Amino acid sequence: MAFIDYYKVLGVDKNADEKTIKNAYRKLARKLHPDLNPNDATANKKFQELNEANEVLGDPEKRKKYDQYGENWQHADAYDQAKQQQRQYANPGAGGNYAGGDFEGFGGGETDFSEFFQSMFGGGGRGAGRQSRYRGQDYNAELKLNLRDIIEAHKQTLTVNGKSIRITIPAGVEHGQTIKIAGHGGPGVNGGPAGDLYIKFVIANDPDFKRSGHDLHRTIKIDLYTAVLGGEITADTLNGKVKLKLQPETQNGSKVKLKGKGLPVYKKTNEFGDLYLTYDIQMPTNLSDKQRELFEELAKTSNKN
Amino acid sequence: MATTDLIPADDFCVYHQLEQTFIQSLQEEGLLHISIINKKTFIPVGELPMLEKMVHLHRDLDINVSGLASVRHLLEQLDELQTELWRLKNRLRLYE
Repeated sequence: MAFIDYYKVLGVDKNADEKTIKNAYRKLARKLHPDLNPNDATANKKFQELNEANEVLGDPEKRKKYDQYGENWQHADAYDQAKQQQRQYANPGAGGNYAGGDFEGFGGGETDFSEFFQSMFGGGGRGAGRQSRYRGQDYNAELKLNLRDIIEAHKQTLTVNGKSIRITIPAGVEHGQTIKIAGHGGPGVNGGPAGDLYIKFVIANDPDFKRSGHDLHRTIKIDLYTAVLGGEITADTLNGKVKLKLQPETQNGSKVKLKGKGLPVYKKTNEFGDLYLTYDIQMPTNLSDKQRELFEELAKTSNKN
Repeated sequence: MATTDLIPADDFCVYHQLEQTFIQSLQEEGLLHISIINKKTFIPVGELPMLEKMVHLHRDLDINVSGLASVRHLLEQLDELQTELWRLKNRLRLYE
């Protein structure tokens, strides 16, 4: 368990008076308060550390204990016993002058901040008073999906902090959108309500379809001859194939809109976006002699020549 | 007819160890909507998340009600900007 230097957390000197400590806490709290830093996990963690430091250094009794034992807190009980014995030997009646023990060399492994605090001051932490009932921590989770996973609403079971939660993934959900599952966050402190679980959807880019809101975009390749002469083509949509009539003299880069063939509109039943197809006309390569001849013939008939 | 869940302001104040005047001040500043039924004050459940935020800011940072109004305004602006940024990022994915 690692020793935490609460003075360092607050950025104050070991001799700092109560007012200095309070001011340092306030100054940092204004910067790191979770309600002023929404979705910032680093700020939230730092605020937690800051609160812990203030809890100890802002309370004269806790500060005394912290200063007295400091990083040797683990030996505090033994220290107290030794101190009592010393007093008895030195001056059983009037409380003697103990020189202090040598607890050098304590070092610990990695642990989280609260463990140190709880070992030194017991569980709970918050003093009996204004912060005694606190809402549990909000949890954040990410759920990775493919574009095709959101064509229809479906149920999925997630495991968050060892608990299974069955959620409905709404159709048409956006990349980066977050939904709140109330009461599935951390447990409340001293009877406070549980926090909430926030699930952020991360939707991977699709190799074929690009998304813009609830519309989809796709590029399809058309051979030169069909583009010039017109014809029938087949195009893939997200949920099947469609046949399209291509007008003669279709230009490269031109677009066609397939109404209602996009993604479902979030939380709107039977409403869909559109699919935009962009034609990418492919130039013929490796022409045969005959083809080249015909193109030359064609070129002669062109107004440009 | 739509119904709204209400929480007695007394209960909220006891739970959070707050003075009733704090709720009144927030209401006067336009930061909180309350319902008064049979001379009793109730808080709509939908107001709770923002109200709890304001309680924390008031306590943890000693921000008074006028300060809370400014903070709330800025937080709303931040939220709008984040939403806009998110939408723009999603539109950029079209060109990735």
